Amino acid sequence: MSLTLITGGSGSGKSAWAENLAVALCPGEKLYWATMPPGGPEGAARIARHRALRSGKGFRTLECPQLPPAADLPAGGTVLLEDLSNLLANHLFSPHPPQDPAAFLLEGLRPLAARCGHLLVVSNEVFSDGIPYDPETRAFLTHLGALHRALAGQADLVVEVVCGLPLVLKGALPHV
Amino acid sequence: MMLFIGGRAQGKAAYAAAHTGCTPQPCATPEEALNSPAIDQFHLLCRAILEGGGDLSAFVETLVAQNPDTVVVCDEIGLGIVPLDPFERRWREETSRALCRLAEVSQRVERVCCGLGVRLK
Repeated sequence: MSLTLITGGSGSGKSAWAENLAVALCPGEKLYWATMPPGGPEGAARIARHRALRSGKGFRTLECPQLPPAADLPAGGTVLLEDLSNLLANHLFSPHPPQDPAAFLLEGLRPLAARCGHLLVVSNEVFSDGIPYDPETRAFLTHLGALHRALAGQADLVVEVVCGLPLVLKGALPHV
Repeated sequence: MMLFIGGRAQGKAAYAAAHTGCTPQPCATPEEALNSPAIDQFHLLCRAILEGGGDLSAFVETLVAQNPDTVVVCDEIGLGIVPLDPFERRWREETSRALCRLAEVSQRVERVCCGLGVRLK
């Protein structure tokens, strides 16, 4: 198995870059794990844009806002999780949030990563605006930062996408 | 001097400690910072100085002159929308300019993301 963490700002091209990496790693059928719960016209438009972006690239879509059972992921397959920050928010702001959301997700992602041949995790770089947020948002940022650090520690490849270009923070881009 | 910057919650202080041997500590006052071997949360010290009506660029020059071997750890705070509030605006701009000055005199500057450092200088 291999684990890749892909981060970047809004509109940085990280999704398209991650999809292309998935295609390069696995030309055949891949799984796109979509975490965004549909809601409102903006969300629907975003989902439609992402669907168009990945059409024809060989992705089957699993819509799952929270951690799926491992059996829902293809054993030895290539899975693109889009995205980690949504997944965290869906668990954090659920009626019964876990005590330690970062540890909970790390624990939950481990068997999923072990099942996949390649797990590509897309997340968001949202830590550098200096805004003194409300306590809920600050807690979200703290949990997301902890998740990024821990996943980066376990990952084979960590990339920040800037203007659609990969800035490699750990590991080496695969020669494909 | 060594400078470690990056977004919040990226593990900058732990990274700086692992790579310099000094554990960064937050400094509540400029005097504390002038005597500290490793300053954490430098952006909050900048904010406190500005809130107290102090001159941030003058403080930075004093720091460079009197504590030239210190380690500075600071959040990057200037990558969002420029805020409407004049003080918030000033804090971001003056802190970022302070980092430019510290980077000039530092022999090592790293940006930490996801706990991983990228050397800028």
